[in-house]
Amino acid sequence: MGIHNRMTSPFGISHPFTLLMYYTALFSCIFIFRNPVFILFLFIACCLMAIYYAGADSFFKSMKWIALIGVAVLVLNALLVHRGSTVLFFLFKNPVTKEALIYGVYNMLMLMSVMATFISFNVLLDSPKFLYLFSGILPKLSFVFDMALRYIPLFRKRASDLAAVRSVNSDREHMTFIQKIKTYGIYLKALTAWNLEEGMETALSLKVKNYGTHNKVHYAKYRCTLRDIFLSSVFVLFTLFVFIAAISEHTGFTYYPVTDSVNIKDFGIVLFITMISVIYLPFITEGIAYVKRGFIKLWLQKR
Amino acid sequence: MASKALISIKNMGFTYENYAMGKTVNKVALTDINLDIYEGEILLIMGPSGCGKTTLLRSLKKEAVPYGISTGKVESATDSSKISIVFSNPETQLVTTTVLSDLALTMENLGYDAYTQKKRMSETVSYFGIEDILHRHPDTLSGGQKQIVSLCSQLMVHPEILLLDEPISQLDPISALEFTDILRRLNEEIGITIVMTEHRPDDVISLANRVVYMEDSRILFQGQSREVLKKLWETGKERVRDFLPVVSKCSLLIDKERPACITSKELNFMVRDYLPIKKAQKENDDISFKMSEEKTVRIRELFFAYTKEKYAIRNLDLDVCKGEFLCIMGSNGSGKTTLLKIMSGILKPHIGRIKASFGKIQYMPQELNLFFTEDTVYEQMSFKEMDKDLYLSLVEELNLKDILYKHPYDLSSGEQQKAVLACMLLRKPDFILLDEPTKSMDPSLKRVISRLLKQSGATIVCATHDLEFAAKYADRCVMMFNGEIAYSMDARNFFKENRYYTTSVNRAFGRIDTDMVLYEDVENAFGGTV
Repeated sequence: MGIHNRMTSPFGISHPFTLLMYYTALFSCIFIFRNPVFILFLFIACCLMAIYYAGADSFFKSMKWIALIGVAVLVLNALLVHRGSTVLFFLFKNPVTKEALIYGVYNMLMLMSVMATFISFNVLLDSPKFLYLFSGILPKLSFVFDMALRYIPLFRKRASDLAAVRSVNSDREHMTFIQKIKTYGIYLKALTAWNLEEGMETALSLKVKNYGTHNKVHYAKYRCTLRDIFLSSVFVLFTLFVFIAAISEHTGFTYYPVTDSVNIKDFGIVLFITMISVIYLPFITEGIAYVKRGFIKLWLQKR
Repeated sequence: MASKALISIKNMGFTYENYAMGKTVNKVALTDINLDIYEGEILLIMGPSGCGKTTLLRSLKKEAVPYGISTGKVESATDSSKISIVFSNPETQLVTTTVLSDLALTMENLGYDAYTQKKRMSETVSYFGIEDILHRHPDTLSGGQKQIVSLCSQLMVHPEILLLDEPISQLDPISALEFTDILRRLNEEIGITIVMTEHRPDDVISLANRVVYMEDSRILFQGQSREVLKKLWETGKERVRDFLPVVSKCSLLIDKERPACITSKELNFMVRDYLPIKKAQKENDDISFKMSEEKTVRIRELFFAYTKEKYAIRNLDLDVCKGEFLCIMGSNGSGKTTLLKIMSGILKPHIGRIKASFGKIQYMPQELNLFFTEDTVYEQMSFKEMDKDLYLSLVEELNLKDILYKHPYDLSSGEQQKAVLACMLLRKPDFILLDEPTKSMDPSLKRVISRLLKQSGATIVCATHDLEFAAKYADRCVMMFNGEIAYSMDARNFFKENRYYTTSVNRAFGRIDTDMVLYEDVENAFGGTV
C-alpha cells in the first residue's frame, strides 16, 4: 500500500521543496503547540501519514518501539515529577499528581508524533529528494553523501557474505572469544582493502565521466508546478502564522501547578481549525483526487 | 565501411613504473604498437590476460591513460570529450543511489543545461527501453543491466568513439548477448566507432569488422576478422588456437582453405558440403559416468524464499551422488546460487529436508573477493597441516609461481580463480561447490582445472552458464527453471536433446548430426581432412 500511495497520491508526488515545507510546518506545530488536544490531533495526523505512505507493516513495526519509549516517558514523568496540586495517590511515600500525569501524556504524544513523522518523512523525502534539495547549497558534500548512502549497505552486505563464505570454508569449528575477535579483525581488514581497491576504479570511472572539470549542473528531476507553488505558500504562511501565534503567547498551556482547561476558546479555535486544515491537507488533496477518479469512472461507464 | 582514421597510433610503447621494496621495477605493457582506428568500424582487440590490451585501450582516451612512461605518438582526430570508455567491472561504475542519477552524472559534470540534459536523457532512455529501471537502486540490478546503464550514461554525451574494456567478461551469456545486440545497434544505426577488448571472443566475433591479436605487449596480427582468425589457426599452437571462437575453430579444422566461419549458421551451411560426416572415431556414449549408489546430498521437497512474494526455490528434489561432477544449468534468477548456498549451509531451507553426508566442504562464491582475507596468495593458501607435496604440484600445474606473493585483489579474474581453486584443493575437501567458476577463464585453464577437480575425487556441484564447459567436463547436468529442477540427464544427452540451450557446435550441427556437441567431436569426425 505504502509504495503505491507515495508513487500515485497527489501529495506524494509533490516537489521535494513542497514536502520539506509541509514537514517544517508539521514539526513547528509539534514543538510549539502545548495543548494536549492539539498534540493528539497532530499525533493522529502523523500516524495516518505513516500508514498511508510507508504502509501499515512498516508503521506497526516501528510503532512497537515508539510506543514503548512513549509509555516509558509517561511512566517516568508521573513517578519522578512531584509537582502539581492534585495528588491522585502515593507510591512508596511519593505523591503521583494528576498534573504530572497529564504532562506525561503530552510529552509522550509529542515524542511519539516526532518519531512517527520520521516514518513518512523517510519515504516521502527519500535520499534522492533530500540530496536534490541540498545539492544546490552544498554540491560536493551532497554528492559524497549520496555515494556514502550507496556504499554503507553494500559494505554491510559484503561483510555478511564474506563471513558466510569464510565460515563454510574455514577449518576451525569452535573458536574462542579471542580467536573470534581476531577473525573479525581479519574480515574487516580484507573488506577495507577490497573497498579501497574498488575506490581506485570508481575514481577512474568518475574521472572519465569528467567529474570536477566543469561547474556541475544538476539534472532537473522534479518540476515545480503551480500546485507546488500554491501548496508551499500555504505551508510557509501557516508556519509563519504559528510562529507569530507563539510569539504573541497564544500557543502556551499551563501544566503546573494546576493544569489549564483543555477547552479551546477564542483565538485557539482559529488556530485549531487552521492547523487541522493545513496538517490534514495531504488527505484533503487525496480525497479530492479520489472523488474525481470516482466521477471519471462513472462518466466512462455511462459512455 | 572504413574511410578515415580517427585515431592513429605510431610506434607506441608503454611501461608501468612499479615500486617494490624501495626499488623501481618496470613492466613493459606495450611495445612498438602501430594501429589505425577507422571511422564506423568495430575493432576487437584480443589476446591472453596481461598482454597489454587494456593499457592500449586506455591510452586512446586522455583521461584514462594509466600512469607510466609512454613513447611514440597517438594522433587523434576526435576530441577527447567525444571518446567514451566503459570498464569491465559493473560494480565500480555506478556510484549514486538511483539509476537516473547515474545516467545523468556525465552530463551534469560537463555542465549541460537543464533542457539538453532532459532531451538527451529522454531520447537515450527511450532508445534503449530502460524506463522500468530508472528509479531503481543500482544494487538491485543484474550485472548486465548495470553494464547497460554505464554504457547509456556515456552515450548521453553523444560520443563518436566508444571504448569498451572487456565489457561482457563479468556477464552471463544471456546478458552478454543483450549487451552485444546494443553494440550492434549503436554501430549499425548510429555509426559509432567501437573499440573493445575481449578474451572470450565467441560472443563478439560476429560484431567485429577488424581484429587485433596481441601477445606479450605486441600486436601479432591485425586485419579483417576472418583473415586474423585464419592466421591464428595457422600458427598451429594450441595456446593461440584456444582464442578462436569455437565455430571458427571447427570451420578451419574442416577446411582451412575457406574463410573462417563466425556464426553457427555459417558453419551449418558449410558443413553440408562435407556430408556424410564420418562417425566419430571415439565412441562417446560409452564414457557416461556410472552413478554411485551412495549419495553425498539428498534434498527432498525443498522450499526457500528471500521475500514474501515469491519462492526462489520450490518443491525441489535432488540427489547428488558421491564422486560425481554435477552441473546446475539455467537462466539468471532460476535459483542456482540459492541452491548452492543451501547445500553449503549458508542458507537454511524454509520447508523440506536436506540429508548431507560429507566430511570437508569448500565453496567458491561467484564474487571471488569474498574468498580472500589474507594479504598474499601464499598466506591464503597455507595452513598448519598443509600437504607440501600437493602444494608444490598445485603451484606447478596451475602456474601460480608468479602470483604467490601478490595481493589477491591485484590479480586478474583468471588468476584469482586459479588461486581460489588451489586454496580449495589444498584442503582436500570431499564436497566442492562452485558458483560460475569459468567466468573469464581461458580454455586451456579450464582443461587444467577440470582435470585437477576430477583428480581430487571430491563430489562437485557447479552452477554455471558455460555450456561448453558443462558439456565437456560434467557427468550430469540438471536444468533449473522457475525454482525447481526441470530435468536431469547425463551431460552429453542433455545437450544432444536441446535445440536452443546447447553448445555452439551442437547448434551448428543440430539439424545434421545431433551427436556433435563439442569441438573434440568435430575433431574426431573431421580430423582426417586437415
